[in-house]
Amino acid sequence: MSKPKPLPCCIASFNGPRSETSEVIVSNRESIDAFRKKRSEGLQPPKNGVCVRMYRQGLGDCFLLAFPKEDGDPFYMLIDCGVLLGTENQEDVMKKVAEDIAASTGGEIDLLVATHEHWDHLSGFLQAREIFEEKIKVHDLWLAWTEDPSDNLARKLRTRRKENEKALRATAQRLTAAGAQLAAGRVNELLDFFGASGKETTEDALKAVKQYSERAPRYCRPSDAPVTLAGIPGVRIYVLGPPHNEKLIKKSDPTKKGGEVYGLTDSTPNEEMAFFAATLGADSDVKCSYGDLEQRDLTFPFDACHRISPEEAGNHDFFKRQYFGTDKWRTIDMDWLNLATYLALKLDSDTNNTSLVLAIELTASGKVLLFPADAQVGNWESWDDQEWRVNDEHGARTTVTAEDLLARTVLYKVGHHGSHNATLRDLGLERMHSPDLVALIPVNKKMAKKKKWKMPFPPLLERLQEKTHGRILQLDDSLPTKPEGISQAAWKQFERSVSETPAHFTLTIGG
Amino acid sequence: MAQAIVPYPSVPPLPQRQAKAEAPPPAFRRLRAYAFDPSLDTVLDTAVLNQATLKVPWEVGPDGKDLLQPGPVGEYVEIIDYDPASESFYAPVDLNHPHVLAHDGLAPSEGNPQFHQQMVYAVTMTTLGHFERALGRLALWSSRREVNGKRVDEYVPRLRIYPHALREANAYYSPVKKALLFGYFPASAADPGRSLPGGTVFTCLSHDIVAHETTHALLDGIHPRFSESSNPDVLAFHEAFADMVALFQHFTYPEALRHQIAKTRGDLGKQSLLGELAQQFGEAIGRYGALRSAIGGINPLTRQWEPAVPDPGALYTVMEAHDRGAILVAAVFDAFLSIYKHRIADLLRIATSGTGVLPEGEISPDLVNRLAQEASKSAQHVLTMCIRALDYCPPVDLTFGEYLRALLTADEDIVPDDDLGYRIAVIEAFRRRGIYPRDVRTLSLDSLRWQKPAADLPGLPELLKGLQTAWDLSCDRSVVFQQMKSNAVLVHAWVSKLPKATATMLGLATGPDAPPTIKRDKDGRPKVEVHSLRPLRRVGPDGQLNVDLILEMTQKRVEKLDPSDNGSPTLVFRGGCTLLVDRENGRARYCIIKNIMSDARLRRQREFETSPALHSLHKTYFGERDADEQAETFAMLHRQF
Repeated sequence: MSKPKPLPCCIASFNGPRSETSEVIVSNRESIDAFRKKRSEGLQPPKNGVCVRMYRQGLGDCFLLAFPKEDGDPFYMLIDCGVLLGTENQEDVMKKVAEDIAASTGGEIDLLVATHEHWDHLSGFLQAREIFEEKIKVHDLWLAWTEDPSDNLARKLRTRRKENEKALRATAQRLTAAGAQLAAGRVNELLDFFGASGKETTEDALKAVKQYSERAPRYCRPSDAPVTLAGIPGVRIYVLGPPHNEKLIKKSDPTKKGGEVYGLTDSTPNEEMAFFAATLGADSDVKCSYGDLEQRDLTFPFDACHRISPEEAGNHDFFKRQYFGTDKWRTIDMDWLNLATYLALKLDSDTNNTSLVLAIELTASGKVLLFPADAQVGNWESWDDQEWRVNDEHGARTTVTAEDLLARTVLYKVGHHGSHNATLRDLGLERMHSPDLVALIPVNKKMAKKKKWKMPFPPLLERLQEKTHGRILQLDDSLPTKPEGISQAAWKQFERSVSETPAHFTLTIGG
Repeated sequence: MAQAIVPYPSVPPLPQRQAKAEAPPPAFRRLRAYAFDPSLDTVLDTAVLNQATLKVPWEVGPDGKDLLQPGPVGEYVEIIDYDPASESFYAPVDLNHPHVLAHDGLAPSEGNPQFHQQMVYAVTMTTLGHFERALGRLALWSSRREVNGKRVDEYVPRLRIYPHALREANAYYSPVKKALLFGYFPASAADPGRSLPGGTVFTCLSHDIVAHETTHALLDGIHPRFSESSNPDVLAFHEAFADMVALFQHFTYPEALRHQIAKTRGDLGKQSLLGELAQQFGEAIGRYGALRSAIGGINPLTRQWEPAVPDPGALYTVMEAHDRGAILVAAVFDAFLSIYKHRIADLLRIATSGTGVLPEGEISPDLVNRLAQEASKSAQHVLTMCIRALDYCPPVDLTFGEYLRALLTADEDIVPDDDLGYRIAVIEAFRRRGIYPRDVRTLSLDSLRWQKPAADLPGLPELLKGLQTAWDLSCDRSVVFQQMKSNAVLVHAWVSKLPKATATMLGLATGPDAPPTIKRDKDGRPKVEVHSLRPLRRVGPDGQLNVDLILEMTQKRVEKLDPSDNGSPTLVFRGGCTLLVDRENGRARYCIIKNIMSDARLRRQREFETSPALHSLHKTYFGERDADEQAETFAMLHRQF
């Protein structure tokens, strides 16, 4: 193996609408041999199959995958790199993770995936900026179409998200000022998913990620044809979500049937506008469409001639007696502000639903690794809207559906840290039939408990236990013990496939 | 009263009355309102029927003087128009102003806040009137339960109504503030239905929403524990009942009824406005039909209206309160349709010369009138039945099946001879939707009717003699409330002295061996709460008017949600009974129990409170709601997430 081969590169047989030509990029930083050597010391994939590393940084997603290329070199893919705002020593923690990634990949990531714009998925790209800039080279970057600046729907969604975020931050301040501490705290807690107020945000993280990548990002959509990675013909990646559909992106909860509830705020962009116009006030310096004064007057229900200001009303006999006088317990000055919490929840779940969902298929064995990021109901439900035409191993054209892919899933990265609405039952987990199924849950119970979050959701965890026969790797837990009713041999086989360090779990899946 | 014109000169002039004789106050105040909501005004087809003139009681005080103040502020409600989001108050309407009086109130207008106040007042009072007439007694709002964390029981004379309290697509009843809060919001620009895109939609101008929220408040006044979600049916019942009242109230407006009957050619099972709730609300939020459609809906594929096919299995899967409630509404509406069809069968035979097939084209206006009469009568009967059944419900933890038993028993008490088959229609409609009581062997009337207690209750006749029970429609409500409180003390003394076997029969545990999770009073005895003590009129088999008394006694156990976990959150488990007593002979007629000692029921409640179906994003992030939030059940219920 002395003849230099082309170095790892990207997409080879990608024939979707926004295909990019595969090019050979030769690293100038180091000699090829040195690079080879470094890589051989890193995370090594099996001859056939894949190796998946889950970092144990805290509540957040960071996954490193290593595939064997035809020429024997590994191909590294990194999916997200973040930890929840408020995690202890978060910067140090993420720097350590980044160092490990640099060491494990020989400083070259072939493909980086940033699933969606939430802090617990992106923070590391800012917190370990030096490491990503100096020690790691990223060849390709995949983002969801929702980040595509040339997509109109994406632009619309993003603009509204930013405006709502801004308006909610200002509303939270107003809530604090008005003494509504509980509501203010809740809104702020949810806004933390976009980064801390006044500091670097997820938007900055996304910008940074784009700078790390050598090539322009690929904006993935479910309608794209499945992609075979360069040098590894045995791996095919399908994009399942996010759906290119505004309604589905805004659907997040399974229990309220038919989406009526989400319909409620879906199609009324102006309900939010009217609300924010009131919370921000006329003299707000938040510059978004809600601040527009002309618009603002239209959000008042009646003409100015009908309005009596609170000061005037204070001198008005009727209001003095009926409202300001007795029965203080029946006043309603604060009740309307409670909507803020609900708008914040909506913003959070809308963003989760823009998650880039990837199904990675090992074509020889048909095994599938499912990485749904934080996709919620609407995203999951849309997977069936799509089917893909691919060549099977004999070269014949066949059709692949989401149901197929789920049925063959052997590794499931549990959605949204194991929350109740990010793993669909009938259209999701119940379709995963593989006897080899393993679940990875990137959750930190201590953190979740501190935040009083219900993660992982107990009924989901229970079903996962059954579906995986106990093969669950939870970020903050040690290796699971053998459940009753599982053969010693089968369990040993599983244990052999996993290695545990305080910093990560590494799981090897045969092809 | 104007002097009559004397027709013939030969008739001697009328004797001179006192020149200054004042006319007595009229029985009714006529007020204009939207029969549905403002959106119907913009469609030629429906504009004519959208304006209703409601007749609400002319409120007079005990001194015979007008009682209604600007606001309006009356005996039952006070409307205060404060819009905190806009930092604005809107001046109160004076319904007694001559200019307003002369024209049946202000003309319907979306841009005039005073009309909004008038409409809310008119609809609230109409709904309240249905309750008072059906129950034959004054309506009371639920009392104030807590002041600065201390338990009290304070009389609340008036329900407070804020027509523009919220800037969101929501309206709710606040049990904490004893207030209705209505929201307004801009109509969806993408799909505004008949509204102006971006124009303001007012929930307080929707007849259905106002009637719905008022019903929540009235129900809370009778059964304050029905807002505690101890099984999937309780809150669903609250929603369903509010929808039922709103729905059947429409049938009392003749213009709308005749129009709809003409349009559906007498078949009310077809899509009709009357069966749709909250038209504008539903459309403005971007859906074609109504917010909650009891009898059917638009098929998303064909965009055609289709009646809902009853699914007996739905009760096992549908857990969301509104959707679950819709099952009950559909059952009651179905029963109503059967009754209506039964009542008009002869009319149709006459009109079709016995063929039963109506000719093509419009049906005769005479027939429309007669059909409308029958529909109105059927609706009034069903509405009365539904409201009266409230008195036959257990005090806590109601299920749909128990409501069915209450409906049948209540109806049998008021109409002993069911010659038109109402009760069969009800059983049939409920059966088709899988609504059965848990603990009966057959679906026959006999086994569904509530049962008498197995033995006489000692001391009951003596107790009754000591109670003050004047509570008819002419009493002072605050006096009634005080009376109820002092009576409760007597009942409480009686219950505490009951022998153990009798207490057990009433579903209570009063002995020293009662579970330690039941709180003890200062004498160390298990606490019993006496809730309500109300009279109920009924027609006896001999046609005589009898008065029954309703006693409600409950107990509370504070149990662990997860019995195997020491640090488990708690669960409030309630039990007790509703006792219907004949005041004449002092015998208990029915005893409707929810046994406080039932382990099976406790287990079911545990399962329910931990079930995944109850989970929400709100819970994921913010955990269990605190006590303050839980008290505002309806605000949450309508906001979701």
